[in-house]
Amino acid sequence: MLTLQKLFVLLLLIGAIASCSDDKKNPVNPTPTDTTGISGNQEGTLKAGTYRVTGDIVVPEGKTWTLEAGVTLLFQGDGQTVATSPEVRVLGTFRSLGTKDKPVVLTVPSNLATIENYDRGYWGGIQGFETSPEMTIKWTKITHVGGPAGPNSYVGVYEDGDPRYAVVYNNVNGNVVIEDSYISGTADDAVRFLGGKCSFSRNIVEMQGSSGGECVNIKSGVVGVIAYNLFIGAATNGAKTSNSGGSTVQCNVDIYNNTFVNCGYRRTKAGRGGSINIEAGARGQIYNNLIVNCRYGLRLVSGSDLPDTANTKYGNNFFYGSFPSLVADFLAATPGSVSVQQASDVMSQTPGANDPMFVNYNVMAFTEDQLRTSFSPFAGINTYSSYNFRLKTGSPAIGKGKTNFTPALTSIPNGTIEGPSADIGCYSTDGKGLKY
Amino acid sequence: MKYFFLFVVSIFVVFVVSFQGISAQTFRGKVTDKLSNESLIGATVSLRNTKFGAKAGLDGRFRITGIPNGTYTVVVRYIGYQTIEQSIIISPTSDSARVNFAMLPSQLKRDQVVVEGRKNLSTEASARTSVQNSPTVLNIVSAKTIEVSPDIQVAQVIQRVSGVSIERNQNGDGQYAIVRGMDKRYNYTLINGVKIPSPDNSNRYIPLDIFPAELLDRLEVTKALTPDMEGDAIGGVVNLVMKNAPEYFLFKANASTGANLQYFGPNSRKFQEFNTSVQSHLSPNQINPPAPDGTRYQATMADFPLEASKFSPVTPMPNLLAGFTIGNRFGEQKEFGAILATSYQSQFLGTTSHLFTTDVNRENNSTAFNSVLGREFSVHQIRSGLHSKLDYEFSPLNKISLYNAYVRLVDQQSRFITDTNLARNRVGSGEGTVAIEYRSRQQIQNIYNGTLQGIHLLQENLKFDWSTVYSIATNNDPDMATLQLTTESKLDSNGNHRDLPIFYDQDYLRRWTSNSDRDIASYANLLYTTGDEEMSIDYKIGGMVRLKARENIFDRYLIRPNPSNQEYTGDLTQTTFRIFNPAGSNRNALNYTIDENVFAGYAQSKIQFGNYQILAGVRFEHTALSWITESDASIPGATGDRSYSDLLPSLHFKYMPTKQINWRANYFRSISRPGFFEVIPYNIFEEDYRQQGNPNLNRVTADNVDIRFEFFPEALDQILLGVFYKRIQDPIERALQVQGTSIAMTTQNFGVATNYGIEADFTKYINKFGIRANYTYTNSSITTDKSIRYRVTEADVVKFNIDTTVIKVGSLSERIESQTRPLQGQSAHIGNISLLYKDIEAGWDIQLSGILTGERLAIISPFKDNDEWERTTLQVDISIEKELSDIGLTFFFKARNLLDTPLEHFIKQPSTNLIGNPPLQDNPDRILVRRDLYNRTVQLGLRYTL
Repeated sequence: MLTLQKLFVLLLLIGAIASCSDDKKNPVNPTPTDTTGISGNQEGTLKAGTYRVTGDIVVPEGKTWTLEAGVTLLFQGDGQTVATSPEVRVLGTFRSLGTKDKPVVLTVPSNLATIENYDRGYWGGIQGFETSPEMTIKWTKITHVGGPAGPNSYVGVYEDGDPRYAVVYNNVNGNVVIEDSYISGTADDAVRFLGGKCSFSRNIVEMQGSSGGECVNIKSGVVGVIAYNLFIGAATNGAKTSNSGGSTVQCNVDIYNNTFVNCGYRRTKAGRGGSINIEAGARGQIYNNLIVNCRYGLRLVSGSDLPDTANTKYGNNFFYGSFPSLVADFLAATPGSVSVQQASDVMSQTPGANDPMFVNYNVMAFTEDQLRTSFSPFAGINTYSSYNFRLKTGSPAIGKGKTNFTPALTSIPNGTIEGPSADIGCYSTDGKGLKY
Repeated sequence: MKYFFLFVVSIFVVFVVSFQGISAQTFRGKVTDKLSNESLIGATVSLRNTKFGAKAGLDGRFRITGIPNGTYTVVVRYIGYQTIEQSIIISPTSDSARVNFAMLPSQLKRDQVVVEGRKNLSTEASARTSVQNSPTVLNIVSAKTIEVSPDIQVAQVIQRVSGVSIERNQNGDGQYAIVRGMDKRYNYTLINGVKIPSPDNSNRYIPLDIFPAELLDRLEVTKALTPDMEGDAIGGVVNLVMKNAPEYFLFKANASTGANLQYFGPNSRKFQEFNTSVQSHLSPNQINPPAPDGTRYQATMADFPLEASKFSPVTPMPNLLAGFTIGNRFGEQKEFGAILATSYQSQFLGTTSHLFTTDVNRENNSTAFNSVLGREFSVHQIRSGLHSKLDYEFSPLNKISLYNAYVRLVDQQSRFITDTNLARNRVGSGEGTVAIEYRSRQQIQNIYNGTLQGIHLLQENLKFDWSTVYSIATNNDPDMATLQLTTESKLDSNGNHRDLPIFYDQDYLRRWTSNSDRDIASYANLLYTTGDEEMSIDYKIGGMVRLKARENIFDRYLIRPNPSNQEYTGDLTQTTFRIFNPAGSNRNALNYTIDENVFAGYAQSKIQFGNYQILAGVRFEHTALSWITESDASIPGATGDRSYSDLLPSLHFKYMPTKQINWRANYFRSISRPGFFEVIPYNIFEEDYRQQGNPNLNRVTADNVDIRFEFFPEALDQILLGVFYKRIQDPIERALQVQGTSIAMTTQNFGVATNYGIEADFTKYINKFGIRANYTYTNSSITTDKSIRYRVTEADVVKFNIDTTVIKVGSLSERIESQTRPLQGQSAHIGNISLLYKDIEAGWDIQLSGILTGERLAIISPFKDNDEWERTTLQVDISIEKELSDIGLTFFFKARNLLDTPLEHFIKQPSTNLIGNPPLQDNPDRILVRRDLYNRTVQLGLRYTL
């Protein structure tokens, strides 16, 4: 009886291994018709060029995979199943080193990469596992991510069928750098960090989430900064930090010098959505943020999900609302938040007051109705497109920032963390900040 | 409610007084079974050609009064026994004649050794005899006791056994048995002595509420295992002995109706009905399997009928319960017996519930509320069962039987939840974010068991018996539709309520899940008897093989409103939806197939000499478990196997100084296997911590000791008094574990736990009144790890050895500490009391029962001092039966949960610490987290016995 059993199990194992030949980890992956595509284990450096990704890519533990400037990866996915939404599974080190002139582009074929398809989630994103010591993403454009997770996806982060996030990192002892990059169109969260030291700086995130999720969603075990970013058209929050997730290391992320525009309208649940959300024991320094026409202002969640208020400092934030309900909801007027207006804040007391004076963006361009039903037309409300969010001379946001505080993290390998600016928002008159 | 008790007690008194007569001459005596000495309750004793007669009462005694002097012929009759006729003289010189009658069974041709299966096991007297004669510690509830009780399903029956309490299901009905404080994982269930598989999707234990009580001949609870029993029970073993083929033609039928009073009467509410035929029992991926090249079916909205989320408030139909039993023996020698028993129960139940979701404060680890949920359940429950037994006696030396048992439980459930968030957006009471959920669900559980059994007398003292068993348990939970909506509640400037429009929340979920567990088993036993009048020795050896295979299927679709901010008007057809994952999620990462094979062998010997009986032996069990999950092969433990062997000795000692007294001392060693799901290395990231499976989980082993005193005076009376002690090695509990800088929730083994207690069981009949009571005191303790949230101070760095480069002073962090507590589900005090009135002449049978379940741990929190306790409950039920003359018709009335006993959970922290003035907190010393109400159910009907 016992030997029969062993034989049976052996047969099953052989079957399982056999089905895993061709380095394909997903047994139900349909046979690709294009053999010039890349998939499977990758390491070393990928030279500039356009590549089709036909299946999951895996960076094995202990190995490094680097994408040179000028690499374009076209993910061949349809967003319908996990098997047909390939992802990059990072168990080792992943580096995507674009430059301003030659960015790395991680996207889908051009016929699919449209604004209407922003949340189709054609491919599965970049998933950093606990064994990954480093993920560095610079000058990289990531679009149309969010395919459904399946049994081979990051087990534990996703439930079967849930949309995957564009970038995930989960090594509390490691480092993750996302700088000078552009994330456009995701089905749910754009970026989720579950552990590690992080720098999320000088990026643009637009069209995030079809009905929920945040641009940057951080849990316990993370120490770092979210600085000099432009968030436009997020479904819920631009940035959310929380100490839930069960790490003994408290979530300590500073959020400063970011610009939030038109965020929070696609999440229908009352009380959710907005610009910045700190909750559940997280701590941080929240300064110099420019919040324009977002559903809610800065919220420090009240009640049982209170953040670490003793260690959370905020001020010098700029709140602009072009219609009455927004103005009413800033800070303390927002039920469910324990934040209060600081003397150093610049806040519209009446709708339309204190126009931040962007070089090329009319803050009164859209009505309340258009913002609240901001699904189409997308262009303009939720996209960066050809706007210019730099501050004109004479803007009330210039010179109102706070510079005398030290960020939770001042340096990170392979990344650049810039200190705070005397101006509010993601562009600084002294040259720091967003390079786009 | 006090008055109700007084009223009932006074009824008893009235009955007593009214039935006192004044006798002239009296004839009295006792009727017993000559062989077993059991009292034959209900035997008729009559004086031929006169109107005088009586029936033997509970104690076997009869009394005929007012007889004029003379000579008479007494006729004593009882079904299944040879009629006795005897002449007696009634005279004034002896004003009461007293004669005892010992009757012989009418079929007495076969050797008792083979015919053991023929005795009528369903009477109270036979139950008592079995307990007395057993070599081990046993409690039995007979079919007759069940019939006159208020209970209709087996979990309700079992809670009346001493040492047993039950865990309730969502309808407030009993579901799982907790034996001597050992919760459901430590006990197993048998049908006719063979183990059955479970329809539960990840565990082995059987929900006892699947079984209708009327299919049983008796219910046995064994508390000390002998080597010939399977060794994986630490609390006890529940054996459902199904109806046996009778000696003579038997036909019994019953029909009754009833209702749960929450749907009728002045304060009634409506039953939320949905169209259950609209749900497809197979998921879209099962109806349209993947193409050979692997492409999966893309579901469309046509696969998800929106009618599943449409509810109509109605007054439900009355409950309907019916069943019949028919059986007989055929053939010249009555060698072929057959019985068929069926039962059908359709009931409308419901629960009104308040539930608080809790969180733990990050500064000081105290309880905080997230939201309060108002929940309303409307449940239509249909329970049905069929049992048949055929047996054929080839010869006096060979007998073969075939049992088939099938039970099925269908639960159609609507659940409405209004969830008010007590933190976000809440300025005060009446305000807040409100989440609304409408869920429809149908759960179908089936168990089928087929057993072929043979008994052969190879030689005069050598008996061989074997069984082959095929069992399958399935669970199907198709198309659970969860509609999630969101809105806000605000107070306007006048303080009046203002409801804002209702929107769809992110996901409308449609989920299919089903699992099956199939067993094939084979048993063989050989019994050799030797000895003489002075000393007899039995040697018994045997073996068993069981092959088990389990399979799970899971498919979940997320349907999103597109665009997301559409308003909910009540009509889903007006909304446009988009299916987020049209291929479904056919295989959950946590899905698996499992094979578990158990091989066992035992040897035991029973020695009887003088007043002593010793049973000693050892059992060997080898378990081989292997699993295959759908996880990626690179994840360690995606497939795996474990095997282990155990040697389980036991010793049972019995001293019988008189025919009525037993002293027992028992020792046995047993194991408890981990649940299937617990050993698989899964990983889930939850809100507060990571959950992980544990492939290194060991099985639990326990050493158990019992000492019991038993006294069986007259008739049905008994006194049982015992103490027990258990030492449990590697008990399995869920708790948090620090792994580096992350905290994960895993199922682990925790050192040694102990459990000891006292059981007392008492039954006494006085004339027509009886009292049956039992009380158990249990004390258990286990030490597990708990997490504590705190803010790190300088002092803490030294105290807890903190690495300040990783965790800074002043930051919020978590640490692990151990806490000692009782085992989950163990109450310090449990008790049962039943007041009985039996008038055999007039045909009354009344029972008023109360069950007391003391405070016990309901939910173990991962955080220290945050466990949820269930408050002490007292449940009262009543059953009244009246035989209608001699036509075999009995009328009955039963009512359950007379006191509308609520289920309450609380956390032992002061409620004055809670912020925000949450509702329902009546007690400053503790925090109420749940209160469920089920209301009373009444039933009335007729039973006919041929």
